[in-house]
Amino acid sequence: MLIYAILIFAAAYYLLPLYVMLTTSLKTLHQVNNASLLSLPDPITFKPWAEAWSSACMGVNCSGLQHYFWNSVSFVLPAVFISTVFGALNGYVLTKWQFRGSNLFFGLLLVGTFVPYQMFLLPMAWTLGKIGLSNSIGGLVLVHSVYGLAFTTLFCRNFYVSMPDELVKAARVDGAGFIRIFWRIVLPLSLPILMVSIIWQFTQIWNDFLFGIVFTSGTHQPITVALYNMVDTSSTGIKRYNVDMAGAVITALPTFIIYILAGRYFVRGLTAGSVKG
Amino acid sequence: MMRSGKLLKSGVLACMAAAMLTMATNAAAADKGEISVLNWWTSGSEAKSMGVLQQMMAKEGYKMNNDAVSGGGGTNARTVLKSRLSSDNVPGAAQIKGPEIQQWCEQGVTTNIDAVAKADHWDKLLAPAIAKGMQCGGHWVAVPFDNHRVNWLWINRADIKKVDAQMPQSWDELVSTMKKLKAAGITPIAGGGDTWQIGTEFDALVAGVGGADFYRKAFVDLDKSALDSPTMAKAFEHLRVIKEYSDPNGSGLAWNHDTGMVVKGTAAMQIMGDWAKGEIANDGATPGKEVACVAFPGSQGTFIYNIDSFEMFKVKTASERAAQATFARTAMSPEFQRKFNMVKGSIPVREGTSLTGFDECAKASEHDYKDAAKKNGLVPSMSQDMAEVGAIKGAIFDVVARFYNSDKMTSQEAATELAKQVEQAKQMTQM
Amino acid sequence: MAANSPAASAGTYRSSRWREHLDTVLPKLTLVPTGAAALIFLYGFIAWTIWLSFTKSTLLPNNRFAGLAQYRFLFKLDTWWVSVTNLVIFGVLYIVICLAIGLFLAILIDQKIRAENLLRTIYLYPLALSLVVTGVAWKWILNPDLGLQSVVRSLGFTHFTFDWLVQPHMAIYTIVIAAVWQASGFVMALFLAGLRGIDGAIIKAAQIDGASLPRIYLRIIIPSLRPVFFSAVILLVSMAIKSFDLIIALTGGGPGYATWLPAIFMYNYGFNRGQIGLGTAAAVLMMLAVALALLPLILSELKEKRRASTR
Repeated sequence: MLIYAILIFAAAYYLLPLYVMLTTSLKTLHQVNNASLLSLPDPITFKPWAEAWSSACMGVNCSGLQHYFWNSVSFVLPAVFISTVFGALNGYVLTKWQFRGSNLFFGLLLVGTFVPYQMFLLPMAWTLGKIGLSNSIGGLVLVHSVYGLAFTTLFCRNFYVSMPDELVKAARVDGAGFIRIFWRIVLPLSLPILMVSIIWQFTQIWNDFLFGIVFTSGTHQPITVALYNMVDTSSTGIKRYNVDMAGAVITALPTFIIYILAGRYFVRGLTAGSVKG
Repeated sequence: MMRSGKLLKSGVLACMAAAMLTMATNAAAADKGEISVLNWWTSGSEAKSMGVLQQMMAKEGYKMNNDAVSGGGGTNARTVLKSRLSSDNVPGAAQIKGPEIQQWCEQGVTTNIDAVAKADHWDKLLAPAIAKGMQCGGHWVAVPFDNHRVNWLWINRADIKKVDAQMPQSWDELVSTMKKLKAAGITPIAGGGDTWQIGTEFDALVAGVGGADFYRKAFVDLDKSALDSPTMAKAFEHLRVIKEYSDPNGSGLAWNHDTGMVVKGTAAMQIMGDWAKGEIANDGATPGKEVACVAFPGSQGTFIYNIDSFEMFKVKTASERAAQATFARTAMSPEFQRKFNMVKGSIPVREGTSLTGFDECAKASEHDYKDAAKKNGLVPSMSQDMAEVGAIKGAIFDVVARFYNSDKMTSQEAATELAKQVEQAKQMTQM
Repeated sequence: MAANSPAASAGTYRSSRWREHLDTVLPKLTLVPTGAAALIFLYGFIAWTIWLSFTKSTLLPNNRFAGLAQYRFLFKLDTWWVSVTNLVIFGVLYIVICLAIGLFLAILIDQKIRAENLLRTIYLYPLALSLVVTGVAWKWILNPDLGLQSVVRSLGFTHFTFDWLVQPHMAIYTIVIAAVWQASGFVMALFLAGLRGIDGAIIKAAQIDGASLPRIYLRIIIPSLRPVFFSAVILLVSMAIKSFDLIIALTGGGPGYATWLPAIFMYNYGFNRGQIGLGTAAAVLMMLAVALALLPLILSELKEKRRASTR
């Protein structure tokens, strides 16, 4: 019983901010300003959600978050796909096709997980300008793919290490080559780790703010930047906390849904990966 | 016959040419050029003002892209500017103020708008100090939008009446008013938030304690004997008093939240520039009526100015340059200056612009401005980046924040530290 | 180390020379895009950053050599030392608390409890949310006037005080609270995965030998989670160093500069104050510190694996 008490207490700690966000987003502005932070919405209203989605202002542009939502989708999906594919291939090579220096390669790549990106903004901007991708969705796809590689490779490598080498050896005896083995044998077994990689990358890229605000402008901006602008715009005059919170929840919704739907894969994928890790 | 035939021909040709010309100008009128304007005005009223400019430019046939970057009082916009310059995606105009204008000019990436400035006689429309700030090496590189006064004290009249106090005119009166308010359970000062808010208070305090000449000596000339002086120590001492009477939980709250407190009356006063007026109006009060504006006690003769301006960057095409010129001309036009400043809370930086329709506080500001101009009381604001470049202002802010957050540092120590840090920052920038 | 890889022992198999050749080249070719990206976007930029830290760069990068001047200035700045101290306080607390809570919750959840899926999702979801978003929520909760303090006071405990957010010396701990909230569930998932992977037979054998449950955990289970600790520490260190959004959203670095971290320092000096040289110098020192701290860890782990895989 004590176990449950502790677990539920912990759950309360984790749920507190979500509770505040959700209830606030469903309250009328009157209630937000006059009742306690922890009170339940009474009456419940969905107007803040509708406003945040389709009519809240970001500066002079009052069309809500919807446009930016699709912006985010349009660069998050390709970036997640690219970084995951290369992560899987890299992991495959680094474990099943090791060569002289492959461990060094991995070690050097790992450095990429520790670098604070703030200092790379200018060379990054310079590079994007040189290849004609400044202020474009393509530029964001490139940036996010590149900086995700270290993580996806780390995950996949740790997963493939635990996959028996005999599988690959047997396939080679049967005459299968590098690509065929990956496609027919390794990939079908990779679902758990691919889910981990996809969830991780999706979360990181969807939630990114820094690259979004620096490398895009106007209508190209991702939803996190739009949300920030929205909160900023509504900060003058009557602060509409309920609309702000609804916008925040909308922004978080895709990642949230992914966690609920695919959360168990997450744990399963890590299980398979980190044991022998 | 021949002759008339030729005449006919040339007549037709001329007509055709004229028609083509009109067609051409019509086509151009739709889109003569485009300019990207980088700024950090995302809050409601400011963004709307930029919308006005957009429309005025559209009328002349130019497209203005309003690239507003929110966050941190321009921090993110500054990053974006550097990033865009690096990636060769140069904005036609960017919001830059104070000595940073000259700093950018020295980097060799700016361009001048001398033609517009000379044709419209800007040198006669702007105060000499302000005009100088818009130039670099004798060329006009930036256009000013507004003229804010920083050293204002905003007071909820009802609160003052409640405790039976007078509008404070001197430091001592202010202290006694604060005492009464605190005893009555009203937060005397809404403040204590971001460092720049405390910096704004410090601006007013230094002007109040030392006057315009001292302020200039300290923050413009960075004179060591002024920075590390008993007068500066006294300004720090006053800051500590202000802190004592400030909202203890103010840290982390936005300045406009504080203004809201003054409008509601939960706090009685705020030391803030006149951009607070937009908030006061938004919260349903009238600046000058429910919330009074008085020059910060002791700093009456000083007008600490804060001017928003846009600097021009080197663009590639002739149409972009034409858009740049139109942008500058439109921004300085009386029509825009009136519209913009009425919303922004400032007074038109273009001298001689009519103030009919502006509120009491704007009129008071205009009066004080003229008065200060005569008595050499105009000083650029340290806290709003008007007096020093980012490196030095940052160093000053750091010391002010350290003093504000520490109970151990004495005011004399703070003044000494201020001189030391400023000296060091100076070395860094002059390296 | 390559002894066990199929490519090296390919000669023993009957396959055409062409295929053999292809199978030696293809794997390396596969790594080329990643290698090229790392070379430019990682090492190229690091090299560029290091170079800039020796220049007089201000608003924009320039190539006027300044020697070690930027570093000398850096060491004199109180803001820098506050940032570094904060990173140490924040980093240590963040990592240790995340590991402790994560391991503890994982062990509890591993006791075959009901509603495991639900609880796990609840613990894990904070990682899904943007720090820009959660920072705002935490700002509310931690603000003395609006959040917990006022709620508890309104329940009748009028002397309850929880105002760390506005106390210069305590504000950094509120960052820890919010950051732990965000990542500890993820660490729990990592440990849970590790626990699920342990061979039940070993535990049974120990139980038969009469070892108590706590003893089994301390002596057998936790030591066997070593690789999980490695992964978790790597990820947590990386997240701690990069902490930026949360601080911007929660405290904005304040009161004053009381909650600055080196990432904030770099951003502020490099971009806002127009001192790119100084900002890059800070970045270089940080990368150096991270390298020194993590290199032994990574090397030992790689060695460990090599031994394990050749076994």
